[in-house]
Amino acid sequence: MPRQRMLTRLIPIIVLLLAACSQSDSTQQDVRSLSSSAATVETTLSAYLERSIPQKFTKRALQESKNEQETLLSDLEGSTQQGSGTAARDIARSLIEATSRAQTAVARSDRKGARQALEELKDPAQALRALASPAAGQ
Amino acid sequence: MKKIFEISLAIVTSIGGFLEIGSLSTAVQAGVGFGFQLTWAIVLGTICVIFLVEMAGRFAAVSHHTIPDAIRERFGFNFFVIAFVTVAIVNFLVLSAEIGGVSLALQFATGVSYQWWAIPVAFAAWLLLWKGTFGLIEKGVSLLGLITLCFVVAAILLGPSWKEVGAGAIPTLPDHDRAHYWFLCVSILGASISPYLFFFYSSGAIEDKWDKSYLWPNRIIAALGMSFGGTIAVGALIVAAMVFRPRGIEELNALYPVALILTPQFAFWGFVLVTASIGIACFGAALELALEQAYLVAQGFGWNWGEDLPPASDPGFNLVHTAAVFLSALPIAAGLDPFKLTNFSMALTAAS
Repeated sequence: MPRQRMLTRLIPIIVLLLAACSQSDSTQQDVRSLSSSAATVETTLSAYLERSIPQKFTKRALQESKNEQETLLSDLEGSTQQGSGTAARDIARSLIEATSRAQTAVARSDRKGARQALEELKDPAQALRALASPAAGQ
Repeated sequence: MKKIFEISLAIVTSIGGFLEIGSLSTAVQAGVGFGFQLTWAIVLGTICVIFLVEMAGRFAAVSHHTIPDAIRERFGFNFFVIAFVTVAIVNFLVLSAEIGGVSLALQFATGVSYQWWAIPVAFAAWLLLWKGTFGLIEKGVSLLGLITLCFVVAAILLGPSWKEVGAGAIPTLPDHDRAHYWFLCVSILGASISPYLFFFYSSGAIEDKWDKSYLWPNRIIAALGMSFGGTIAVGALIVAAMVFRPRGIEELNALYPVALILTPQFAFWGFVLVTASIGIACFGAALELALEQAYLVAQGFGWNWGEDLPPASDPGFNLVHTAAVFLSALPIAAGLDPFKLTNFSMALTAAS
């Protein structure tokens, strides 16, 4: 009986611990995905500015990236409200804004605007890389 | 002399027909996520497929039976049904992913969403299956598939450390994302050891009227064709690792970044080459899969079959490839993401 009672008490603790672990893992995973998405947008915009890819492809690629970033942001908003999670959410918002500006510039064939958006992307991309590094995850 | 020409042509078509949406997507994801570390999975998959293809060809040349034929005759209809249902489901999903691959390539080229391309792609595939001969499908499309060699050229031009690439051919444990690593490993094996590949090969041997004199050519075709084909997949992995990882891209959640993979080497032509590679390779694989689905049903149920026969003499066979190609286009036309479908179907292929 005492063993059963102990198990009954331990199970919720184990479940909570597992949930906490998976939450912190999923936050870190979201940050890594956002970091990769930021790098993909940078690469796409650079290729567009070098005239290596067509405008229509770039426009659609940026739209897909923006959708992915919005999904990741809503995942982050659903997870922990503290620490690196809050920082990641703020950076994700500025990344989405920069991606959106880049998309508008590409849609208007405004190469100057696209170059400016690429510059604006650098800060959030760098911040996400720092957050996504294994050291930040520990 | 004729046989040497046939062997050379068969090797070339095996190389051109090796890469498809599954092998390309898994190789690129492996390169992006783990650098050269998963090279061993491609090498292992290629070795396995060499043996399986050689056995399938040898079996067909000696017994004049295809694999589904033999399964039904040797183990009985009840056992055959289990294998039939499993392979038919996997074929359906992979065919859907291949149609998605062609549709995505058309989206890259035109900007029009892939969903709109699914039915026209299915129609083009059906028309070629209906009007074309086995030789045209096997050799014509696979020869065009040689365009995928651009990944090998790009890998050489990038000048990787061959010592590191060689080290990747030896299995090692990852230092991060273990679950993702093993999932990719299973998917790479699934993409390499697709049942449709050696089922199709054995049906092709019957279509090409192979006999015992083809035993040696069969060995050479299986060994060289598949090895060079595997080299293209390794090329894609190397390019992904060397182009994407230094730019901070360490995971892939969609297929469109793959279109950027050759732009550092070939600028706009890099985009054109990747788009054409995906389109042609997936179209070739879609034709083979639709035919394989028809071979499987016709051979399993003892119907008349043969791509070179007029449709009136094997109506069941033609009905199955027609239904297969149009039904498989429906999930893509409905908006199912080809990239996610590919990942899922490759893992399922490995399980089957």
